[in-house]
Amino acid sequence: MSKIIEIIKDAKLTYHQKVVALARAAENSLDVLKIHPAVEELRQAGIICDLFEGHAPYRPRYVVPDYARFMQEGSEFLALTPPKTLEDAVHSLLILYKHVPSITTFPVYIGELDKLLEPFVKDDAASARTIKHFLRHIDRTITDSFCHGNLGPRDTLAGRLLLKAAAELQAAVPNLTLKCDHDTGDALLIQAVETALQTAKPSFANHAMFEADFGEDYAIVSCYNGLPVGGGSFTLVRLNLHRLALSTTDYAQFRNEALPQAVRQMLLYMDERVRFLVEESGFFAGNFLVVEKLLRLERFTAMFGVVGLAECVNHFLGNPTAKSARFGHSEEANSMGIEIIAQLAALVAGHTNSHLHFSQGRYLLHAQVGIDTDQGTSPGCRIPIGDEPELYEHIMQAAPFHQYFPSGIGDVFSFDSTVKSNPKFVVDILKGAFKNGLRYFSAYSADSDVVRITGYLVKRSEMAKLARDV
Amino acid sequence: MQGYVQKIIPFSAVDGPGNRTAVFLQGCNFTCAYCHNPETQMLYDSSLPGDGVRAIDHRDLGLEVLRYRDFIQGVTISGGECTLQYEFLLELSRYLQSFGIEVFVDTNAHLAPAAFQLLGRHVDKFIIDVKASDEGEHMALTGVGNNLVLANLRYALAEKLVYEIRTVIVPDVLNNEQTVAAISRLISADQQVRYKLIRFRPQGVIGAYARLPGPTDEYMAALQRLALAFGVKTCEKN
Repeated sequence: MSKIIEIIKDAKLTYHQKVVALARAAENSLDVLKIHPAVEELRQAGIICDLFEGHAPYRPRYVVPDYARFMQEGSEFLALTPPKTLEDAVHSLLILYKHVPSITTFPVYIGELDKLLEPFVKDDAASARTIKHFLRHIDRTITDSFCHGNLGPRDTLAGRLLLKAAAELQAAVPNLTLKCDHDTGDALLIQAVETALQTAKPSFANHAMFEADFGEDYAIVSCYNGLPVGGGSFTLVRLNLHRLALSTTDYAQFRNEALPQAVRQMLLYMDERVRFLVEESGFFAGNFLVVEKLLRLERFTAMFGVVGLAECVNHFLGNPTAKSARFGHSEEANSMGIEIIAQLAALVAGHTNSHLHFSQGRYLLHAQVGIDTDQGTSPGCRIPIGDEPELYEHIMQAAPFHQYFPSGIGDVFSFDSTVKSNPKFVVDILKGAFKNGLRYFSAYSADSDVVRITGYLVKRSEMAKLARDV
Repeated sequence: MQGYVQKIIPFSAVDGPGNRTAVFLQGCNFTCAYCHNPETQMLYDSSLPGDGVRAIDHRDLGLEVLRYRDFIQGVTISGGECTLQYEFLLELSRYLQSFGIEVFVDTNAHLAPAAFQLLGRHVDKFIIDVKASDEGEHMALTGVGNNLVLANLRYALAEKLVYEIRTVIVPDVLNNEQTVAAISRLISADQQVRYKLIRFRPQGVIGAYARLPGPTDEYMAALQRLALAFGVKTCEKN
């Protein structure tokens, strides 16, 4: 009970944060999942980590409601009829957001905002004001940087107004992604890049690549996770390749024994989490999002996460002191990285779970961005910070990994503020990156207040304030 | 055709529109008192130590640049003064254009008009540095007069071959107002031509101007207003 009283007395937590922490403590007091001792051993060693999902999953980790359906049908449960005006539309969405579950209580996906609002906007000051209020309301009530809205790939008035408002507000939430393809015009891309250089969003998704994996109805949610609309992901558990490498004697043992065994144990652990959620928790029997078909069981999958490829590879190369011999630079290191990820992909694809309807029973790979305690372990397949090569080499090194990760991988590129007077510079690089197989691209200017930390956004000014207060 | 290259910047945001691969050729015919890259001035001579200069065939250089083609709007060939390696420049530009690459040449335009005009048929646009509009001032600053520069500039403007004109602003020493006014008057006929005013920075300068102050923000803004008042559509300052 000391944990409970600690939460209650914690002066740094807001009221809402306390409620969430208390609920989590209650959930974690249960022991309902059948966890094999071999899994528990890997969890204790930090090789497998469920990223704070809790001990008794009672809602999918990533819920991706079909907001377009909601706008057409309204909601009986929420007693809302389909919106007829922009005011109706934003209020309906803001109401629904408060009922979308996640492991933090905040929605990780808030819709294709431009498409949802386009029927209602006019090219006037009133529409611009309403959209700005809408985004501000989201920032002040959904206090979670993993909340994500989508734009594009077509140019719309609503999309322009949303980008303009985001640039003006300089808020960390919501995160935004612009889907881009061949037909996304330069004018929209330039406005999006200008916005990103001011406020670290939107990021850019390679629409053709995601569409090939998911079909047209996909969304970018949370950090940069590609997932089917009207469904989502039951769970995300991750494998720490760095820690796994440290537990082995050599590369051969890693590939022949340790990796297959760890993947097998992690898949069985994920199966157990999915089983409890789908078969026992009652979520899919009673939640109104399911009843009203904003979520459908057949649109769900689940995500197999991975971190620490760079450190794993560098470990097996004897942690070379010369940068030119390390992951991100040497041909040998990069090839070893691809070899590991290709093997991982094959191992994961060799396992099926009948609840993963959307992905034919397969778990989807996800390059996880890390958690705050990951000192010395890089996100997904990224090159360690400070070790990155020049931009061209960096993109060409990263791109071959992106094909393996339909449910998300991304690289972050920081630009000098002089680029602000030539945003087409970034647009050209973005197009080249997508042409060469990059799935997801984030840009920010080194002098912005809103900056990107691995996969989410924070305000530099707020971090400085927090550091002063601690 | 062999040429001498000082360096290649794969992705440049400051050498024309969009992302451009910038190729810097060795050698310059001006000895500007504010030059930041005096190592690029000397014409290459095989008896001299390398100093990073590479001898390379225009096709090999072209292929090196073509690696970046998915990522760039075009290539800008600069220097030093790239027209000093005239034949090489012409071959390189033609070679790149044969692959559909947009080629800009960044030059001081100090070359024979016939040669400049021929070059103009094999590049997409010029970026032209005009150091000073006054002949005497130009002579004092660069070591040569500006007759050729201004003649070629007029031709290039008339032929719609100019993307941008650049002038370095040095307070007190140069008559910046006179140069900005003269160039702005020339540009104003073509709304597409950009004028970039570059702030003189004493850091890194070797020679006479090393101890001079750079211009203030207010002074740069005043010169920008002057250019706009003459009808220049886009005047950028750094």
